[in-house]
Amino acid sequence: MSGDNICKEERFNEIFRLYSRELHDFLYYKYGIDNNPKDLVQEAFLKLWDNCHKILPGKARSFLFTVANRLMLNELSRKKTALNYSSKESVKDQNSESPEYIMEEKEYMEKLKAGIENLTEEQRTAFLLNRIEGKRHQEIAEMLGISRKAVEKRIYTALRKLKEQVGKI
Amino acid sequence: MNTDQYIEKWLNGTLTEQERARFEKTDSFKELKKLSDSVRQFKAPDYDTEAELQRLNRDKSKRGKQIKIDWRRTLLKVAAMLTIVVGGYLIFSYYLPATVETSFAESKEVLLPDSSVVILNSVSKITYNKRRWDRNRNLELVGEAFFKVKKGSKFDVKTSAGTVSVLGTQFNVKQRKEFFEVVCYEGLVNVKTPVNDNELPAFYSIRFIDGEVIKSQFDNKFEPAWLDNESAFSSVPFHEVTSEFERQYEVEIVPQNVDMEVLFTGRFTHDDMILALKSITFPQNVTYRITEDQKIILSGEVE
Repeated sequence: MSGDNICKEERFNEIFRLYSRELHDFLYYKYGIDNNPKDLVQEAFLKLWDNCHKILPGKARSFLFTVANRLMLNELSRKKTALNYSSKESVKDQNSESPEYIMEEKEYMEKLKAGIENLTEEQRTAFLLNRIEGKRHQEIAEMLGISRKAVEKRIYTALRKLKEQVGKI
Repeated sequence: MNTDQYIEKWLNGTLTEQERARFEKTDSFKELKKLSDSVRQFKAPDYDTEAELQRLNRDKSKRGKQIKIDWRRTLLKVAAMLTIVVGGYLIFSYYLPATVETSFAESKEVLLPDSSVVILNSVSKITYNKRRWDRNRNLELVGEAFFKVKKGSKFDVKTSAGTVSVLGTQFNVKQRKEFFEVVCYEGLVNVKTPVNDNELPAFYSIRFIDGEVIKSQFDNKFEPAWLDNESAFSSVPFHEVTSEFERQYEVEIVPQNVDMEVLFTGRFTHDDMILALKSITFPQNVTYRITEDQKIILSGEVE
Protein backbone atom coordinates (compact mmCIF):
# COMPACT_ATOMS: atom_id res chain seq x y z
CA MET A 1 0.00 0.00 0.00
CA SER A 2 2.76 2.40 0.96
CA GLY A 3 5.20 3.34 -1.78
CA ASP A 4 7.85 3.22 0.90
CA ASN A 5 7.50 -0.52 1.34
CA ILE A 6 10.12 -2.53 3.24
CA CYS A 7 9.67 -5.29 0.65
CA LYS A 8 11.72 -3.14 -1.72
CA GLU A 9 15.30 -4.35 -1.77
CA GLU A 10 16.93 -0.90 -1.35
CA ARG A 11 14.64 0.09 1.47
CA PHE A 12 15.27 -3.20 3.25
CA ASN A 13 19.06 -2.86 2.89
CA GLU A 14 18.89 0.67 4.21
CA ILE A 15 17.08 -0.56 7.29
CA PHE A 16 19.67 -3.30 7.76
CA ARG A 17 22.50 -0.76 7.64
CA LEU A 18 20.67 1.44 10.13
CA TYR A 19 19.83 -1.09 12.82
CA SER A 20 21.81 -4.32 12.42
CA ARG A 21 24.85 -3.25 14.47
CA GLU A 22 22.72 -1.94 17.30
CA LEU A 23 20.71 -5.14 17.26
CA HIS A 24 23.87 -7.23 17.19
CA ASP A 25 25.34 -5.47 20.23
CA PHE A 26 22.06 -5.84 22.04
CA LEU A 27 21.95 -9.59 21.33
CA TYR A 28 25.56 -9.99 22.35
CA TYR A 29 24.99 -8.41 25.74
CA LYS A 30 21.82 -10.41 26.17
CA TYR A 31 22.98 -13.89 25.13
CA GLY A 32 26.77 -13.73 24.96
CA ILE A 33 29.19 -14.70 22.20
CA ASP A 34 28.55 -18.44 22.25
CA ASN A 35 24.94 -18.05 21.20
CA ASN A 36 25.96 -16.47 17.91
CA PRO A 37 24.55 -12.97 18.02
CA LYS A 38 25.37 -12.51 14.32
CA ASP A 39 23.13 -15.42 13.39
CA LEU A 40 20.39 -14.10 15.63
CA VAL A 41 20.57 -10.78 13.80
CA GLN A 42 20.13 -12.67 10.53
CA GLU A 43 17.18 -14.52 11.97
CA ALA A 44 15.49 -11.33 13.13
CA PHE A 45 15.96 -9.66 9.74
CA LEU A 46 14.64 -12.71 7.89
CA LYS A 47 11.51 -12.43 10.05
CA LEU A 48 11.26 -8.78 9.11
CA TRP A 49 11.59 -9.75 5.45
CA ASP A 50 8.85 -12.36 5.75
CA ASN A 51 6.55 -9.75 7.23
CA CYS A 52 7.73 -6.83 5.10
CA HIS A 53 4.30 -6.14 3.60
CA LYS A 54 2.77 -5.72 7.03
CA ILE A 55 5.32 -3.41 8.64
CA LEU A 56 5.74 0.28 8.01
CA PRO A 57 9.36 1.49 7.78
CA GLY A 58 8.89 3.57 10.92
CA LYS A 59 7.98 0.45 12.89
CA ALA A 60 10.85 -1.71 11.64
CA ARG A 61 13.21 -0.99 14.54
CA SER A 62 10.70 -1.79 17.25
CA PHE A 63 9.69 -4.92 15.32
CA LEU A 64 13.32 -6.06 15.23
CA PHE A 65 13.78 -5.55 18.96
CA THR A 66 10.51 -7.27 19.73
CA VAL A 67 11.64 -10.26 17.70
CA ALA A 68 15.07 -10.19 19.37
CA ASN A 69 13.48 -10.14 22.83
CA ARG A 70 11.27 -13.07 21.97
CA LEU A 71 13.88 -15.23 20.24
CA MET A 72 13.39 -18.39 22.18
CA LEU A 73 16.75 -19.99 22.06
CA ASN A 74 16.45 -23.70 22.04
CA GLU A 75 16.93 -24.60 25.68
CA LEU A 76 18.97 -27.68 24.82
CA SER A 77 21.40 -26.00 22.50
CA ARG A 78 21.56 -22.79 24.50
CA LYS A 79 25.00 -22.04 25.78
CA LYS A 80 26.12 -20.26 28.89
CA THR A 81 26.34 -16.52 28.36
CA ALA A 82 30.02 -15.85 27.79
CA LEU A 83 31.46 -12.41 27.14
CA ASN A 84 34.97 -11.55 26.10
CA TYR A 85 37.04 -8.54 27.08
CA SER A 86 39.94 -6.89 25.38
CA SER A 87 42.79 -6.53 27.83
CA LYS A 88 45.15 -4.51 25.62
CA GLU A 89 43.94 -0.95 26.16
CA SER A 90 44.60 -0.72 29.86
CA VAL A 91 48.03 -2.28 29.45
CA LYS A 92 49.11 0.00 26.64
CA ASP A 93 48.97 3.28 28.57
CA GLN A 94 51.00 2.13 31.44
CA ASN A 95 54.36 0.85 30.30
CA SER A 96 55.91 0.72 33.68
CA GLU A 97 53.75 -2.00 35.02
CA SER A 98 55.10 -4.52 37.37
CA PRO A 99 54.30 -8.18 36.65
CA GLU A 100 52.52 -8.14 39.97
CA TYR A 101 50.25 -5.34 38.86
CA ILE A 102 49.50 -7.13 35.62
CA MET A 103 48.62 -10.26 37.55
CA GLU A 104 46.32 -8.32 39.83
CA GLU A 105 44.75 -6.62 36.88
CA LYS A 106 44.11 -9.94 35.17
CA GLU A 107 42.58 -11.34 38.30
CA TYR A 108 40.31 -8.34 38.57
CA MET A 109 39.11 -8.69 34.98
CA GLU A 110 38.41 -12.39 35.42
CA LYS A 111 36.33 -11.66 38.48
CA LEU A 112 34.46 -8.97 36.61
CA LYS A 113 33.86 -11.32 33.71
CA ALA A 114 32.44 -13.97 36.01
CA GLY A 115 30.35 -11.31 37.69
CA ILE A 116 28.85 -10.05 34.44
CA GLU A 117 28.18 -13.55 33.21
CA ASN A 118 26.38 -14.37 36.43
CA LEU A 119 24.02 -11.43 36.20
CA THR A 120 20.52 -12.21 35.07
CA GLU A 121 19.87 -11.67 31.42
CA GLU A 122 17.72 -8.61 32.18
CA GLN A 123 20.26 -6.99 34.51
CA ARG A 124 23.19 -7.61 32.18
CA THR A 125 21.50 -6.30 29.05
CA ALA A 126 20.35 -3.08 30.68
CA PHE A 127 23.61 -2.53 32.54
CA LEU A 128 25.95 -3.08 29.57
CA LEU A 129 23.85 -1.08 27.12
CA ASN A 130 24.07 1.79 29.58
CA ARG A 131 27.68 1.53 30.67
CA ILE A 132 29.27 0.47 27.36
CA GLU A 133 26.99 1.80 24.65
CA GLY A 134 26.01 4.87 26.64
CA LYS A 135 22.33 4.31 25.98
CA ARG A 136 20.01 6.44 28.04
CA HIS A 137 17.57 4.76 30.39
CA GLN A 138 14.60 5.73 28.25
CA GLU A 139 16.17 4.22 25.13
CA ILE A 140 16.91 0.97 26.92
CA ALA A 141 13.36 0.86 28.22
CA GLU A 142 12.08 1.06 24.64
CA MET A 143 14.50 -1.61 23.40
CA LEU A 144 13.48 -4.05 26.13
CA GLY A 145 9.83 -3.09 26.15
CA ILE A 146 9.85 -2.30 29.88
CA SER A 147 9.46 0.85 32.01
CA ARG A 148 12.22 3.33 32.69
CA LYS A 149 11.98 2.71 36.41
CA ALA A 150 12.57 -1.00 35.81
CA VAL A 151 15.65 -0.18 33.74
CA GLU A 152 17.08 1.99 36.52
CA LYS A 153 16.48 -0.73 39.06
CA ARG A 154 18.18 -3.33 36.90
CA ILE A 155 21.22 -1.19 36.29
CA TYR A 156 21.59 -0.38 39.96
CA THR A 157 21.16 -3.99 41.05
CA ALA A 158 23.69 -5.11 38.46
CA LEU A 159 26.23 -2.58 39.68
CA ARG A 160 25.79 -3.61 43.29
CA LYS A 161 26.26 -7.28 42.44
CA LEU A 162 29.41 -6.54 40.44
CA LYS A 163 30.83 -4.44 43.23
CA GLU A 164 30.40 -7.30 45.61
CA GLN A 165 31.96 -9.69 43.14
CA VAL A 166 35.15 -7.74 42.48
CA GLY A 167 35.42 -6.67 46.10
CA LYS A 168 35.90 -10.29 47.14
CA ILE A 169 39.47 -11.32 47.65
CA MET B 1 23.54 11.16 51.79
CA ASN B 2 25.05 7.69 52.09
CA THR B 3 27.24 5.94 49.55
CA ASP B 4 24.42 3.95 48.01
CA GLN B 5 22.43 7.09 47.38
CA TYR B 6 25.48 8.72 45.81
CA ILE B 7 25.97 5.74 43.55
CA GLU B 8 22.35 5.70 42.51
CA LYS B 9 22.42 9.41 41.67
CA TRP B 10 25.73 9.02 39.88
CA LEU B 11 24.27 6.24 37.76
CA ASN B 12 21.24 8.31 36.87
CA GLY B 13 23.41 11.35 36.24
CA THR B 14 21.51 13.45 38.74
CA LEU B 15 24.37 14.47 41.04
CA THR B 16 24.84 18.18 41.42
CA GLU B 17 28.24 19.73 40.66
CA GLN B 18 28.94 20.00 44.39
CA GLU B 19 27.85 16.48 45.20
CA ARG B 20 29.95 15.06 42.40
CA ALA B 21 33.07 16.85 43.55
CA ARG B 22 32.55 15.50 47.01
CA PHE B 23 31.76 11.98 45.80
CA GLU B 24 34.79 11.81 43.48
CA LYS B 25 37.10 12.16 46.47
CA THR B 26 35.79 9.04 48.16
CA ASP B 27 37.33 5.59 47.93
CA SER B 28 34.09 4.04 46.81
CA PHE B 29 34.11 6.36 43.82
CA LYS B 30 37.58 5.16 42.84
CA GLU B 31 36.34 1.62 43.05
CA LEU B 32 33.33 2.50 41.02
CA LYS B 33 35.38 4.32 38.41
CA LYS B 34 37.67 1.37 37.99
CA LEU B 35 34.75 -0.97 37.67
CA SER B 36 32.97 1.25 35.19
CA ASP B 37 36.09 1.70 33.04
CA SER B 38 36.86 -2.00 33.11
CA VAL B 39 33.35 -2.86 32.06
CA ARG B 40 33.95 -0.92 28.83
CA GLN B 41 36.47 -3.57 27.86
CA PHE B 42 33.55 -5.93 27.46
CA LYS B 43 32.32 -4.07 24.44
CA ALA B 44 30.62 -6.19 21.82
CA PRO B 45 32.99 -7.54 19.15
CA ASP B 46 33.24 -5.89 15.76
CA TYR B 47 30.34 -6.23 13.47
CA ASP B 48 30.84 -5.99 9.73
CA THR B 49 27.55 -4.58 8.56
CA GLU B 50 28.19 -4.96 4.82
CA ALA B 51 29.45 -8.53 5.09
CA GLU B 52 26.44 -9.48 7.20
CA LEU B 53 24.10 -7.78 4.75
CA GLN B 54 25.58 -9.78 1.90
CA ARG B 55 25.14 -12.95 3.92
CA LEU B 56 21.53 -12.05 4.60
CA ASN B 57 20.81 -11.37 0.93
CA ARG B 58 22.37 -14.70 0.00
CA ASP B 59 20.12 -16.47 2.51
CA LYS B 60 17.11 -14.54 1.32
CA SER B 61 17.58 -15.59 -2.29
CA LYS B 62 18.55 -19.13 -1.31
CA ARG B 63 15.21 -19.59 0.36
CA GLY B 64 13.71 -18.52 -2.93
CA LYS B 65 11.22 -15.80 -3.46
CA GLN B 66 8.54 -16.81 -1.04
CA ILE B 67 5.13 -16.56 -2.47
CA LYS B 68 3.58 -14.49 0.20
CA ILE B 69 -0.11 -14.89 0.48
CA ASP B 70 -1.75 -12.25 2.53
CA TRP B 71 -4.55 -14.37 3.91
CA ARG B 72 -6.57 -11.47 5.14
CA ARG B 73 -6.67 -9.88 1.71
CA THR B 74 -7.32 -13.19 -0.03
CA LEU B 75 -10.16 -13.87 2.35
CA LEU B 76 -11.63 -10.44 1.67
CA LYS B 77 -11.47 -11.10 -2.06
CA VAL B 78 -13.20 -14.43 -1.69
CA ALA B 79 -15.83 -12.87 0.56
CA ALA B 80 -16.44 -10.07 -1.94
CA MET B 81 -16.83 -12.56 -4.76
CA LEU B 82 -19.20 -14.71 -2.73
CA THR B 83 -21.26 -11.63 -1.89
CA ILE B 84 -21.58 -10.78 -5.55
CA VAL B 85 -22.47 -14.31 -6.58
CA VAL B 86 -24.92 -14.95 -3.75
CA GLY B 87 -26.38 -11.45 -3.96
CA GLY B 88 -26.71 -11.74 -7.72
CA TYR B 89 -28.41 -15.08 -7.37
CA LEU B 90 -30.83 -13.72 -4.76
CA ILE B 91 -31.76 -10.75 -6.92
CA PHE B 92 -32.00 -12.93 -10.00
CA SER B 93 -34.12 -15.53 -8.27
CA TYR B 94 -36.42 -12.78 -7.03
CA TYR B 95 -37.34 -12.03 -10.64
CA LEU B 96 -37.54 -15.66 -11.64
CA PRO B 97 -40.73 -17.59 -11.01
CA ALA B 98 -40.50 -19.79 -7.95
CA THR B 99 -41.40 -23.45 -8.31
CA VAL B 100 -42.27 -25.94 -5.61
CA GLU B 101 -42.73 -29.56 -6.54
CA THR B 102 -43.55 -32.78 -4.70
CA SER B 103 -42.75 -36.34 -5.61
CA PHE B 104 -44.51 -39.61 -4.89
CA ALA B 105 -45.71 -40.11 -1.35
CA GLU B 106 -44.70 -36.59 -0.42
CA SER B 107 -46.52 -33.44 0.62
CA LYS B 108 -45.17 -29.97 1.19
CA GLU B 109 -46.33 -26.80 2.84
CA VAL B 110 -45.47 -23.55 1.07
CA LEU B 111 -45.69 -20.13 2.68
CA LEU B 112 -46.40 -17.46 0.06
CA PRO B 113 -45.07 -13.89 0.42
CA ASP B 114 -48.43 -12.64 1.83
CA SER B 115 -48.40 -15.57 4.29
CA SER B 116 -51.08 -17.43 2.43
CA VAL B 117 -50.41 -21.13 2.71
CA VAL B 118 -50.39 -23.80 0.03
CA ILE B 119 -50.13 -27.47 0.93
CA LEU B 120 -49.10 -29.61 -2.00
CA ASN B 121 -50.26 -33.21 -2.28
CA SER B 122 -48.08 -35.87 -3.93
CA VAL B 123 -46.78 -35.41 -7.48
CA SER B 124 -47.90 -31.79 -7.70
CA LYS B 125 -46.28 -28.52 -8.62
CA ILE B 126 -46.93 -24.80 -8.18
CA THR B 127 -45.19 -21.94 -9.98
CA TYR B 128 -45.49 -18.31 -8.92
CA ASN B 129 -43.73 -14.94 -8.93
CA LYS B 130 -42.42 -13.64 -5.61
CA ARG B 131 -42.05 -10.20 -7.11
CA ARG B 132 -45.07 -7.93 -6.68
CA TRP B 133 -46.92 -10.82 -5.13
CA ASP B 134 -49.17 -8.50 -3.13
CA ARG B 135 -50.59 -6.86 -6.24
CA ASN B 136 -50.52 -9.88 -8.44
CA ARG B 137 -51.53 -13.01 -6.57
CA ASN B 138 -51.62 -15.76 -9.11
CA LEU B 139 -49.99 -19.11 -9.41
CA GLU B 140 -50.05 -22.10 -11.65
CA LEU B 141 -50.95 -25.50 -10.32
CA VAL B 142 -50.42 -28.96 -11.71
CA GLY B 143 -51.82 -31.67 -9.45
CA GLU B 144 -53.57 -31.17 -6.15
CA ALA B 145 -53.19 -28.57 -3.44
CA PHE B 146 -55.04 -27.11 -0.50
CA PHE B 147 -55.08 -23.33 -0.17
CA LYS B 148 -55.50 -21.07 2.84
CA VAL B 149 -55.64 -17.64 1.26
CA LYS B 150 -55.16 -14.44 3.27
CA LYS B 151 -57.73 -11.76 2.57
CA GLY B 152 -56.54 -9.30 -0.04
CA SER B 153 -56.59 -8.78 -3.77
CA LYS B 154 -57.84 -11.46 -6.13
CA PHE B 155 -56.04 -14.76 -5.81
CA ASP B 156 -55.92 -16.88 -8.95
CA VAL B 157 -55.03 -20.53 -9.28
CA LYS B 158 -54.50 -21.43 -12.91
CA THR B 159 -54.71 -25.02 -14.01
CA SER B 160 -54.91 -26.61 -17.42
CA ALA B 161 -58.61 -27.24 -16.83
CA GLY B 162 -59.57 -23.76 -15.63
CA THR B 163 -58.89 -20.94 -13.23
CA VAL B 164 -60.01 -20.72 -9.62
CA SER B 165 -60.36 -17.18 -8.26
CA VAL B 166 -60.93 -16.13 -4.68
CA LEU B 167 -60.52 -13.21 -2.35
CA GLY B 168 -59.59 -15.00 0.84
CA THR B 169 -60.71 -18.43 1.78
CA GLN B 170 -59.77 -22.05 2.08
CA PHE B 171 -60.18 -24.40 -0.78
CA ASN B 172 -58.75 -27.48 -2.42
CA VAL B 173 -57.97 -27.78 -6.10
CA LYS B 174 -57.41 -31.11 -7.73
CA GLN B 175 -56.56 -31.34 -11.38
CA ARG B 176 -55.44 -34.75 -12.59
CA LYS B 177 -55.67 -35.73 -16.26
CA GLU B 178 -59.36 -35.63 -17.06
CA PHE B 179 -60.33 -34.99 -13.49
CA PHE B 180 -60.78 -31.47 -12.12
CA GLU B 181 -62.24 -30.78 -8.72
CA VAL B 182 -62.46 -27.71 -6.52
CA VAL B 183 -63.66 -27.94 -2.95
CA CYS B 184 -64.47 -24.76 -1.03
CA TYR B 185 -64.10 -24.87 2.76
CA GLU B 186 -64.59 -21.19 3.52
CA GLY B 187 -65.70 -18.02 1.73
CA LEU B 188 -66.56 -17.92 -1.93
CA VAL B 189 -64.62 -19.36 -4.84
CA ASN B 190 -65.01 -18.62 -8.51
CA VAL B 191 -64.20 -21.49 -10.84
CA LYS B 192 -63.81 -20.54 -14.45
CA THR B 193 -63.41 -23.19 -17.12
CA PRO B 194 -63.46 -22.82 -20.89
CA VAL B 195 -67.02 -24.09 -20.66
CA ASN B 196 -68.57 -21.98 -17.91
CA ASP B 197 -68.24 -19.79 -14.82
CA ASN B 198 -69.24 -21.17 -11.40
CA GLU B 199 -69.66 -19.54 -8.02
CA LEU B 200 -68.84 -21.96 -5.29
CA PRO B 201 -69.85 -21.17 -1.67
CA ALA B 202 -68.44 -22.87 1.42
CA PHE B 203 -68.98 -26.61 1.80
CA TYR B 204 -69.66 -27.03 -1.89
CA SER B 205 -67.51 -28.87 -4.32
CA ILE B 206 -67.50 -28.82 -8.06
CA ARG B 207 -66.18 -31.60 -10.21
CA PHE B 208 -65.53 -31.85 -13.92
CA ILE B 209 -65.19 -35.33 -15.30
CA ASP B 210 -65.09 -35.91 -19.02
CA GLY B 211 -67.04 -32.73 -19.75
CA GLU B 212 -69.61 -33.43 -17.08
CA VAL B 213 -70.07 -30.87 -14.30
CA ILE B 214 -71.16 -32.11 -10.91
CA LYS B 215 -71.80 -29.63 -8.13
CA SER B 216 -72.47 -31.07 -4.72
CA GLN B 217 -72.69 -30.13 -1.07
CA PHE B 218 -70.73 -31.99 1.60
CA ASP B 219 -70.80 -32.04 5.38
CA ASN B 220 -69.06 -29.64 7.56
CA LYS B 221 -65.39 -30.42 7.25
CA PHE B 222 -62.54 -28.04 7.64
CA GLU B 223 -59.80 -29.56 5.57
CA PRO B 224 -59.39 -32.16 2.86
CA ALA B 225 -58.70 -35.68 4.07
CA TRP B 226 -55.24 -35.89 2.48
CA LEU B 227 -53.95 -33.32 4.97
CA ASP B 228 -54.60 -36.02 7.60
CA ASN B 229 -52.69 -38.57 5.55
CA GLU B 230 -55.79 -39.99 3.99
CA SER B 231 -57.42 -39.83 0.60
CA ALA B 232 -61.19 -39.56 0.60
CA PHE B 233 -63.48 -40.03 -2.38
CA SER B 234 -67.12 -39.61 -2.91
CA SER B 235 -68.59 -41.04 -6.11
CA VAL B 236 -65.33 -40.86 -8.00
CA PRO B 237 -64.48 -43.18 -10.93
CA PHE B 238 -62.34 -46.04 -9.66
CA HIS B 239 -59.42 -45.21 -11.99
CA GLU B 240 -59.10 -41.85 -10.17
CA VAL B 241 -58.80 -43.76 -6.92
CA THR B 242 -56.09 -46.09 -8.25
CA SER B 243 -54.21 -43.12 -9.74
CA GLU B 244 -54.23 -41.40 -6.38
CA PHE B 245 -53.07 -44.66 -4.81
CA GLU B 246 -50.17 -44.81 -7.25
CA ARG B 247 -49.17 -41.25 -6.37
CA GLN B 248 -49.29 -41.86 -2.65
CA TYR B 249 -47.39 -45.18 -2.59
CA GLU B 250 -45.26 -44.87 -5.71
CA VAL B 251 -46.43 -48.17 -7.14
CA GLU B 252 -47.97 -49.31 -10.37
CA ILE B 253 -51.45 -50.74 -10.41
CA VAL B 254 -52.39 -53.10 -13.19
CA PRO B 255 -56.15 -53.80 -13.46
CA GLN B 256 -57.32 -57.11 -14.90
CA ASN B 257 -61.02 -57.51 -15.61
CA VAL B 258 -61.85 -54.56 -13.40
CA ASP B 259 -64.39 -51.92 -14.32
CA MET B 260 -62.42 -48.75 -13.77
CA GLU B 261 -65.39 -46.45 -14.40
CA VAL B 262 -67.41 -47.70 -11.47
CA LEU B 263 -67.91 -44.97 -8.91
CA PHE B 264 -66.10 -45.31 -5.61
CA THR B 265 -66.94 -43.77 -2.27
CA GLY B 266 -64.55 -44.26 0.61
CA ARG B 267 -61.05 -43.44 1.78
CA PHE B 268 -57.61 -44.94 2.19
CA THR B 269 -54.76 -44.16 4.54
CA HIS B 270 -51.30 -42.99 3.39
CA ASP B 271 -49.49 -44.80 6.18
CA ASP B 272 -50.18 -48.48 5.59
CA MET B 273 -50.25 -49.83 2.03
CA ILE B 274 -51.83 -53.19 2.72
CA LEU B 275 -54.58 -51.63 4.80
CA ALA B 276 -55.08 -49.00 2.08
CA LEU B 277 -55.24 -51.70 -0.60
CA LYS B 278 -57.87 -53.55 1.38
CA SER B 279 -59.92 -50.37 1.79
CA ILE B 280 -60.14 -49.76 -1.92
CA THR B 281 -60.47 -53.33 -3.18
CA PHE B 282 -62.94 -54.84 -0.73
CA PRO B 283 -65.88 -52.50 -1.50
CA GLN B 284 -65.33 -53.03 -5.24
CA ASN B 285 -65.29 -56.79 -4.94
CA VAL B 286 -61.80 -56.91 -6.36
CA THR B 287 -58.83 -59.04 -5.26
CA TYR B 288 -55.22 -57.88 -5.28
CA ARG B 289 -51.88 -59.53 -5.64
CA ILE B 290 -48.38 -58.02 -5.35
CA THR B 291 -45.87 -59.31 -7.88
CA GLU B 292 -42.14 -59.69 -7.34
CA ASP B 293 -41.41 -56.49 -9.25
CA GLN B 294 -43.72 -54.60 -6.88
CA LYS B 295 -46.63 -54.21 -9.22
CA ILE B 296 -50.14 -54.55 -7.86
CA ILE B 297 -52.45 -56.69 -9.93
CA LEU B 298 -56.14 -56.08 -9.36
CA SER B 299 -58.47 -58.79 -10.61
CA GLY B 300 -62.20 -58.61 -10.93
CA GLU B 301 -64.46 -61.50 -10.20
CA VAL B 302 -64.03 -64.31 -12.64
CA GLU B 303 -67.39 -65.18 -14.04
